[in-house]
Formats: sequence, structure tokens, C-alpha cells
Amino acid sequence: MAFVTAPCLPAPSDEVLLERFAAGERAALEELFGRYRQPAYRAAFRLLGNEPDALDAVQEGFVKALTHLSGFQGRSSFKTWLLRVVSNAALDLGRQRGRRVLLSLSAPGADETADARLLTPDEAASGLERADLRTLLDEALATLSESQRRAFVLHADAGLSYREVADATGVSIGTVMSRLFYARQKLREHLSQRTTL
Amino acid sequence: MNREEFYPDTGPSPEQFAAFLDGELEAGARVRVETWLANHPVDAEEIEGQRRVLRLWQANIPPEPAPAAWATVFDRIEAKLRPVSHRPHALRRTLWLGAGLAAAVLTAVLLTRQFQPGHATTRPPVIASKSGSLINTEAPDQEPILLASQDDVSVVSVESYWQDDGRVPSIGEGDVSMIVAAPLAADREP
Repeated sequence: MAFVTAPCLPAPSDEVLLERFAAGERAALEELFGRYRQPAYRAAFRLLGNEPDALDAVQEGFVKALTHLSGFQGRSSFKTWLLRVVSNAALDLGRQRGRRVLLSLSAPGADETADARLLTPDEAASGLERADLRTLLDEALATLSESQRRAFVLHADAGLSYREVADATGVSIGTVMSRLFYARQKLREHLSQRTTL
Repeated sequence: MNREEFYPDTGPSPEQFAAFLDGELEAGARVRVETWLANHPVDAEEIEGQRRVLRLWQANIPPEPAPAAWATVFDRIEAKLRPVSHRPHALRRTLWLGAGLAAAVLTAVLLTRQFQPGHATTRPPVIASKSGSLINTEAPDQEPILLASQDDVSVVSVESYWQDDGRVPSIGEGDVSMIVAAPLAADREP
């Protein structure tokens, strides 16, 4: 018995999708959004600490990235360009609004969850204290300089390579690696005071 | 062979440690870092601590927004990226521009008809400068001559003034300086 299989078409490249988007094709915008909304959101969430602000940053980042494609000009991947703009938008929003999670730390009862007990990586994996641990991680992230925070989040949460982080932040790969090392060192110092790290 | 000769004094650089943690080092460089760490417990503790931080980080990824939240964000993005010609304010601007152009064409047609010999109108309208003095439509390149006052004529339309070369400036090129007027009473000569 013979099977007839339809040819498996490769997914269109970002460049093709951008051309289709420029021609007014809505589906191309949907595809680009579907491809990159998650890394964009994760990076924005880490930088802002809450979902509404992170979604605002994603929205603003997509709009700016697609309306200022002349600044992109194919020098890096669209993903890198988009995450550069999204992280910029998130940092700007953070400066304007403040990280709400830090404000919530000062709310009644917040200190109890942050300080009352030590958490282990196993507890994090179990999900039992996930919210508390996330608060601790947000707090630790806030201790980093803006450049360290950005490099760390783009690498750890958005999944950019060293090269891509370097393109997105306009520094050398060596600087990216250095920032990552010192960011992790600082995170470790902060977290080791409150967990069994 | 003493492997510490690769890092004579200070050991691997922060960049090398970062690449080691991320699995980005080539095999030879990775072995050199591993050997260094085996002989330097303080560094080894630091790198192991950083490895635990990364595990902790990856175990606590931000919660995904609900599908409805994503749909809202996409709709907003799409609305903001909609082509300019489809936007309401752009449509209004286009309508105003169209109305302006139509008015200009109509004025030009009316003026042309007025200047045609044998036109049914026996009294050509007068044209007044902005300052209030009036000129004869049959000789617009001459110095303005007072032909009528506002009591004698009614304003038909406002137009741009002729340039020295006889060219009529386009709308928006300069200040409006001409008023096309018609006599109020047919039995009064200007």
C-alpha cells in the first residue's frame, strides 16, 4: 500500500514574514508574535516583576520593533532586535512605574514569606513554595546593576546566545560573559543568605 | 604537566568561568578549568553555587499569561500597526484634503469661465487684495486699482495671489491674498 504524503514545507524565515507583514499580511504578524512572544514576555516579566507590566512591555516592544525596522536593517536577527527593544521598553517602564514586586515586599506580611524560612532548590522544583521563591529571585535580581540584569535576563530567560546578547546590548561578547559571571556571583551572594544554596 | 601553567597567577578569568558554566568552552579549555577547580576549593564552591542559582532560576520560570491575555496584546499590537491610511484620524485628514482640493478645482473652473470671452456674465467679478484694494480681473498683473468697497461687492471665494511670473501659487504655498468678489447690485458699475 502506497502512502502519499504532502511535502513538509519549512517554516518561513523571519525575513520572509517581515516582507509579508510589510505587504499587509495579518497572518505574518501572527506568526512573528507566536514565535517570539514567550521569550519577550519572560525577559520583560523578570525585569518588571509582574504580568500586566510585562505584557505592556511586550506590546510596546513589538510595536516599536516593527515600526522602526529601519534601525534593524538586518544587522542582527529579528529576534535579537525585538528583544533589544522589548528589554528597553521593560527597563523604561520599570523606571517609570517601579518594580511592583519590590513595592509589594514592603506590604504587610510580605516579609514573612521572604525571610521566615530557608528554601532549597528541591522545594523550588516541587512547586510548593514557588511564589515565595519567585519573590526572592526578583529581589535578588533587583540587586544587580541594570546592565548585569539585562544581560542575565536576555541569556537566562530569553535564551539568547552570547553573540545575540552582545548584539542586543551593543557590547562585546567578552563583556557579556563578564557581566554574566558577576551577575550570577551577586545573585548567589544574595540568595545564599536566604536559602540553603 | 602542570595544568596551572594555563592560568599562571589568577586562574581562569570571569569570562572563562561563565563560558564553563554555560557549556560554551571547547574540550581542552573545559578540562583546564575543571583541573583548576579541583585544586582551588574556593573557586569550586563559587562555581558550584552559581550552578545552583541557574538551576533555581530555570525551575522558577514566570507563569504564562492566559490565552485571552495574549489575544488582547496581539489585538492591540495589530491595531497600532494598522496601515496609516486605515486609521480614523488619517481618514479624516484625507477627507479634509479631498474637500480642499475639490474646492480649489471648483474655484479654478469658475475663474476660467469668468475669463472666457463671450461668457454670459456681463460683469466680471472683481478681485481684491488682502489689504482691501481691488484689482480688475482682466489685468491681474497690473497694480491694484480700487474698484469697489465691501459695501459694493460680496465675497465669492478666497484665492491665492498671482506670482510675478503669472503662476498661481498652490494651496499652502503662501498666505491667501486674493478675494474673488461679485457686485452686489447689477446696475452699479465698479
